[in-house]
Parts: sequence; C-alpha cells; structure tokens
Amino acid sequence: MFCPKCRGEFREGYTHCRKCDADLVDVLPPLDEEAIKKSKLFYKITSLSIESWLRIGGFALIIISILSDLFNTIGTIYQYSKFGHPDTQNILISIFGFIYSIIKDSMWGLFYIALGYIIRLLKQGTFHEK
Amino acid sequence: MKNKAGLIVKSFEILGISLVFIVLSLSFISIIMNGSRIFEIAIGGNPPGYIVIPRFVFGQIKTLLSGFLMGLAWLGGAQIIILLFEKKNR
Repeated sequence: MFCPKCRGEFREGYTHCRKCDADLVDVLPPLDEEAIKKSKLFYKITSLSIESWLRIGGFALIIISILSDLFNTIGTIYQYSKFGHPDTQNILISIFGFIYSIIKDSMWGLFYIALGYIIRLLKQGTFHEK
Repeated sequence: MKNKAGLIVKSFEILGISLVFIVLSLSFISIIMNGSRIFEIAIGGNPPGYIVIPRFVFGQIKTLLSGFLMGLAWLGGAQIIILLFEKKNR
C-alpha cells in the first residue's frame, strides 16, 4: 500500500496515511514532474509537517537569538559608553547577560529540534516499515 | 483511543493552535506599532541606526519564532500522545 501524497510505503492492513491525511492506494500514480517544478517552493513549504517545522524552526531560533542578543549587547554597551558609566562592572553585566541569553535560547532551540526528531522517529516506527 | 486521552490531545491541540495565532497577531501588532517609531529613533539617534534597526528586527523575529515554536511544541505533544497510543493498541 502506498500514500499518493508522500509516496511512502505502508504495511498491509493500513488504509490511511495520518501524516498526509490521505487514503492509501495499491499502485502509485505517475509523478507530475511539470506541476511539481512549477510549485516547487510552495509544495516544499506546504508539505512540511510539524516535526519538520520544529526542526527547521529550532535551528532558525538559535541563529536569530544569537544575532538578536549580540545587537542587544552592542547597543547596551554603546549606551553605557556614551551616556552612562562605562565601568568594568556594567560591561561585565552586559557580557554575562549575553552569554546567559545565548545558552537559554540555544537550549530552547535544541529542545524543539529534539522534539521534532522524537516525533519523526515515532512516526517511522509506527507507520513505516524499516 | 480512550476518552480521557482524547480529551488531553484535543486540549493540547487547541492550546497549540491558539498560542500560535495569539503570538502571531501580537507580534504583528507590535511590529506595526513600533515599526514607524523605530525609524524615527534610528535617524540621528543614539545608539545609531545600524544598531537600533537590527536589534529591533531580530528581536521581533525572535519573539515571533519562539512563540510560534511554542505553539507547535504543544501540537507536537498532542501528536506524540496519538502516536504512542496507536503504537500501544497495535
């Protein structure tokens, strides 16, 4: 049995692909290459499942968080140096705050990536024959 | 699936979807409200625009992304419960 959407193979007894919400068929229909080429980006985005979104989002969150925290720290240090007291204590507070934020956000990102992988592994183990 | 588990899954899904929508709408409101002001501050302001604008843009993307992923994580939790139940009942 095959899923006409994700083209995954299923064991006998299954009639429905939960991932794509489609009924299984005995024979796969031929690929419509032209249609896929035309809407490749749209097809890729819309065919992403929750686990893919979590994995990609986790990576993106780590990168965006590092950039955001970096600019935050630069801005704070700039303001200290211009208007405040540019002493070692204030600068150290900013740098430690930066390190703390990076660790915290990276942990969240890794959590989302791990969650995505757990769902993927569970799906593979439950629906697809290895 | 038993009724209790079905209820938990449904509540996880509702919570996840509502979190995604709430965070997305709040982020858009925040971007619209602050977006025009940030450029005024950035022009000739302190810190200069090349620090203020990226700080604002990356900060907004980070808020949006983390809220969106938080919602997706609840949906993922619901999916894990469904998958575990199906595996158990197989």
